Amino acid sequence: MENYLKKQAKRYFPLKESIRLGITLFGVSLLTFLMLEFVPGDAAEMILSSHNDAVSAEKIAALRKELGLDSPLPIRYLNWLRRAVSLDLGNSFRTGDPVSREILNSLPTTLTLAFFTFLFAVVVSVAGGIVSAMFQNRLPDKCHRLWTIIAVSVPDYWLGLILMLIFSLKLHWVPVAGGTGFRAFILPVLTLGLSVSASEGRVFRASILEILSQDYVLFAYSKGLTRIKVFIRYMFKAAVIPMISMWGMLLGHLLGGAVIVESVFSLPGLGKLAADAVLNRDMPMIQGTVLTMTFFFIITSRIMDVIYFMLIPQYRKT
Amino acid sequence: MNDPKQINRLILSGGFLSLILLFTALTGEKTAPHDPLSINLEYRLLPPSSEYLLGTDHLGRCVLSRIICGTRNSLASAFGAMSLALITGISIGFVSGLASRKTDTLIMGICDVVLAFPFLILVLVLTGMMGPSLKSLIIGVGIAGWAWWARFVRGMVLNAEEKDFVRQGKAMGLSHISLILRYILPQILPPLLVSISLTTGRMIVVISSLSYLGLGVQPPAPEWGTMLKESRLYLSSAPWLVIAPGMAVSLSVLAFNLLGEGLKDYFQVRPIYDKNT
Repeated sequence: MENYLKKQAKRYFPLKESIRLGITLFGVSLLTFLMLEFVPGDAAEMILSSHNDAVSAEKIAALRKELGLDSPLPIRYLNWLRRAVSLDLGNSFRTGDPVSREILNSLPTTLTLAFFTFLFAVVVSVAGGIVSAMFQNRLPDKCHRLWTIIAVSVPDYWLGLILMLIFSLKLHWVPVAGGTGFRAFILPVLTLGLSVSASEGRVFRASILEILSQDYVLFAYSKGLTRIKVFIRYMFKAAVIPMISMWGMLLGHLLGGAVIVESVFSLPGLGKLAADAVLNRDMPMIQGTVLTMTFFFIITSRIMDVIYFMLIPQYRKT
Repeated sequence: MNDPKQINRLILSGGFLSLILLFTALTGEKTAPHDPLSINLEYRLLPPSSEYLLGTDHLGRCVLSRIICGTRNSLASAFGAMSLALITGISIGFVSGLASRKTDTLIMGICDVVLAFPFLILVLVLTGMMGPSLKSLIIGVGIAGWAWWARFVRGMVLNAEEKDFVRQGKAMGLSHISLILRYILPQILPPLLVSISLTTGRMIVVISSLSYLGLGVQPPAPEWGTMLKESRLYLSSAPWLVIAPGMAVSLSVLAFNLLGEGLKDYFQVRPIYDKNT
């Protein structure tokens, strides 16, 4: 364990880490750019064919020149990157609106969904982990394991449809997809939260069990403290630390937009924007959404890594 | 978890379910009570009955037959995608683990970039770009998935290389290939099997999710995700259309998850967490 932490701490040497992050971001932008280069038909053809039916070769050539599509690949990449850095991601082929504005408009939905799902998942997984660890290998633990396996097996879009069928169509408790306000988020949060919290509960359980056998916990018990006091004072924080990076990844994923669940419930978030863009072959929108999601994903996991290292006492100074 | 009876129960139930799935996928049309493609508008949206055990869809097709025949599409695509990612990833992982430091850094850098994308988004875009079809979905999952396996195998190889008997094998002058086959592979096989089983389940979910969005198998061919997409509009009037295909997906994913969990207990493998869950 000690050795592992040292290795990890070395990895977080800031300069080296920033260089690596920079290289990864560069790779991500290059890959996003190249992915859409291989698609048959370029932007000029797409724009013209979406506006009028008769497309002449001269018109395409003229527009291609105007858009700078006739310059060589590296130049085009650099131009694209320069604009992307200044948040100019081009205009959507479908609506003609700037991509950055549409992405900005979709963020409140995605952020709300991500925030509540994250809260739900953390609370449920912590509660499930504690209960199953305290009753290790007894009935509640076995039920929790079975529940985890089932929850992981049920695909989230189907769970969404079933919840919609029960709570919207049969019981009329919440509006069917497309409603507004907080009530529109109840079912999506429940759907996403149930499917992501299950496996995290198992990890938290394992983390608690590992700490249960530590000397200082034994010592605390032998001082005559009650189970609950030992748990709150000595175990909880130590057990949570390994969860931080998992929660970081989860948050990154959620911020990147839940493509499937947003589509099922017709929530106008980042994920639905991306899915619609792919189905409509709306290139600038695809590039924009992919870059945004990946950026969120990378940044969140980095921030969580930093928090993780700040929480481990030995490395707080580094 | 140390209870051997439970170990057997998990593997047995998972294995049993997988065998049923395999049987259904192989026999397909022969066991289906009706032709999965024959349209009969007189019998549209019928609730489950003795003639149509799971009812009929909006075109009057037998839902049970479509689910049975859809098994092959759904499972074969998951296996195909899985094998593509697995074979590529494992070979690259071995190369990276045994190669010089420079090559290793380069390969891991590429993995970093691929893994920086959220998995589902990467598959979504790759599949969308190649044009919606089963083939592009399989290739998309393969391209997005290899990096995880490569990193996983590389880590295992580096771990195994530290062991004394592997060093001895090296000192004896064994070639890379026989070193891998005789000393390294047996060590990394148990965690690999567990991961393969659990990931197969996840691939079934990913592929049916993307089919649900309209990127996989194109109608009228039966596939579970595609069936759910078509029947979504009849959620209130014909709920059996939505319940049945979803049950099929859940059961097949459950089969591989049970198998994976059982193997995990059996081999006493420490849990392996996927970046993308």
